[in-house]
Amino acid sequence: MNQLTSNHTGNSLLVFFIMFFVLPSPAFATGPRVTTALFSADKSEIHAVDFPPFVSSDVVDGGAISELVNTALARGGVDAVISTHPIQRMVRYYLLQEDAMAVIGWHFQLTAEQKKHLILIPITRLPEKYFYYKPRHPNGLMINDVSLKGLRYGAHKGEDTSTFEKAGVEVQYGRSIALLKKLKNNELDFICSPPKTVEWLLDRYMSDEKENFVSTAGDAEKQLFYIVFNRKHADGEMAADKFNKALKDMVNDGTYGKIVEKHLGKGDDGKLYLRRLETFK
Amino acid sequence: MNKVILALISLLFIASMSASAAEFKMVKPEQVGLSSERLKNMDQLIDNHIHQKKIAGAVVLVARKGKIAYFRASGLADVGKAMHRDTMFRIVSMTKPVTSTAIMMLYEEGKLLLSDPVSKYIPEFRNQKVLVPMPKGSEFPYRLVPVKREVQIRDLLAHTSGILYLFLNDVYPNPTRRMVVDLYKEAGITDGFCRPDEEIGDMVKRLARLPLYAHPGEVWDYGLNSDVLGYLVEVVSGQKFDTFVEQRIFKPLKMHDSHFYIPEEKLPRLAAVWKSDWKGHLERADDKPIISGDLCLNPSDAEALSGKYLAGGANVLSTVYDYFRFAQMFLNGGELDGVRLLSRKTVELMSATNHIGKHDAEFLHSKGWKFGLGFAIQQDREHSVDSGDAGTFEWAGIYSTRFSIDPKEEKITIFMSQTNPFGHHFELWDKVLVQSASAIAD
Repeated sequence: MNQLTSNHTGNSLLVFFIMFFVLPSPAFATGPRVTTALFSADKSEIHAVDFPPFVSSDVVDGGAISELVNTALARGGVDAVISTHPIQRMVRYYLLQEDAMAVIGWHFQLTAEQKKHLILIPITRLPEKYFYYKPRHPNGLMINDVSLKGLRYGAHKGEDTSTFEKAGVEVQYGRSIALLKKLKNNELDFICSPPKTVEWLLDRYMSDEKENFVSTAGDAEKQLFYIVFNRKHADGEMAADKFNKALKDMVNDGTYGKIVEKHLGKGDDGKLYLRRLETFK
Repeated sequence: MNKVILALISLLFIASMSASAAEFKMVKPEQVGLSSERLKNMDQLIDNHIHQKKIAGAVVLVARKGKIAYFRASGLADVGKAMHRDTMFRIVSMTKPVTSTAIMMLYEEGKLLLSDPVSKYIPEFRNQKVLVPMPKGSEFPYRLVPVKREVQIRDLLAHTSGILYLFLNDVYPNPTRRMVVDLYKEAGITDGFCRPDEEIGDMVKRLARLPLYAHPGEVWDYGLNSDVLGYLVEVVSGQKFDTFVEQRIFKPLKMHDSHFYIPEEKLPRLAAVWKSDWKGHLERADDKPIISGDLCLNPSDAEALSGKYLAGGANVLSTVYDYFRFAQMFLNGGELDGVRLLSRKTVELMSATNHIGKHDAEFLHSKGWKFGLGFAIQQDREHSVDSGDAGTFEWAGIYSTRFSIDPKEEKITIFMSQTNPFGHHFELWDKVLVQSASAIAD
């Protein structure tokens, strides 16, 4: 029942997401420079893994997904803040061991038994692309069933890599920036990631190498990015209902699209929100 | 007219030469109550180690009452290159007292208090958890429990925060430490001895959100604390950490050969790192990282002319003479040659023995040693270096460097070599300190 509701919501959101992504709107003023989650010890926590520029304390308002979630929480009257973690394992820990009210993310690899206690609400669908390091593959890289054998794939923890493994691909795991460095060092052949994430990481850590990281044509996958509420938490179900309603309202009244446009809109306006938050002389 | 200008230039040149020479001015050991004869034992000690191919070379300095009485370079700095007094070394953890000094300068300026929670300045330290292992067979191998109190700046200075070093996983193995270190690795945390290509703040903000090994204040465990402090200097001062240290510490103390990244013209003065089995097999380390368990050392990091990573626990390159000036500042109660960096009271606070409570600083030393706000302090006589005085404070670096400051005898001893692994060197360092102490003749 909940899954059905979730999928329906996901499709609606996707339409609005795409609609608002292509329609330009004026940029908003910059917001607070540090996420409020870091100053709110007493509220319920919603756990998420660092996922720049979508969920990150290093970007304005915590990134697009953080702001979508925070706005929906506020509108729904759910008293909770987002806490980000550097590794996915901790998010999973809080969801399944500590029965946290909610987590945000993807690639959760949840069992049917675990899902019984959870309410998955899609926030957005993120396109991913395969990236490789051009100097290592000057003639390009074909990612298909025939060409995969012998290649090395860099995966994020929780990613379903069974298809690649069956095709004879060696899989290594790591954080996105570590995987990009491994591409450069010829320890990997390809990775899969949202283009915005790759762009943000390269801008920050390897700007002089930006031209060398290229993607294959077309989208690799489109993964749903969820907020997962926990029925085992005393406020989990109620918060899920409130959040879901608020998110739908945000889609309908245009708030959702404006937030997305603010963070990811084309041109310099969007980039304003993706910049580093701190600089030292 | 031209003759006058020429004469003036000559005078200026002579003046500058003599100023430079004065920096290395030495006195006869007897002038400061040391025995020349007994200091020859130091020559023999080092020369024997070189002869036995345990180390390639070393520079040793002993100063008393503000005067250098013994300053000797011996052996090789690199293949075919003699060690000199001005040879530059990777001082690694001897960076930590420098970082502590930077923090204490900000403390004296009223910018922070030692009891401040670190989260006041680095918000990621808020809501920290401690990892507690679960019984075997549990769904999750550990639980994360909220800290009883937040990590304070004092905890970082005294290593009572519960933050670890990865490499000590090999030295003090236990399941809890292993689990914390595994989380560190997964999050891309390193000890910084193989310098990562990121800014120190990036590392610190990830580290802050990983579980602690123990509740703050309930453990003494040598860890990445000074690296956090380096970033804290950036946050509080608004300056890059290296800029702050260079402008506020190195320059005023005339530590002209101390750097976070080496200037190109000084590369020829950088000592090579040597691998020694302590049994006569000695070879120069190549450019590849030296990896042993969870310890990663990359000697060639020191050859980088620039970089982003500014590790308050490990970054600095220096000379024996420069470090002597830094140590003399401490021995003088915070001042050197008319330049005061710290007050006498702050130096007393840094070298007090109460900061780690009932714990002992059992890493370089053993029971009887405490840890102050940047270095270990001898509290009583239960250590092999019994010739030192209670109140002596010292620390070392992982490529085999060590300093010791004995306030009672107004004596400074500095040893620098570049040899791996460091575990063999404890005995040599201790013997150097014994020779230094036993040369006292007044």
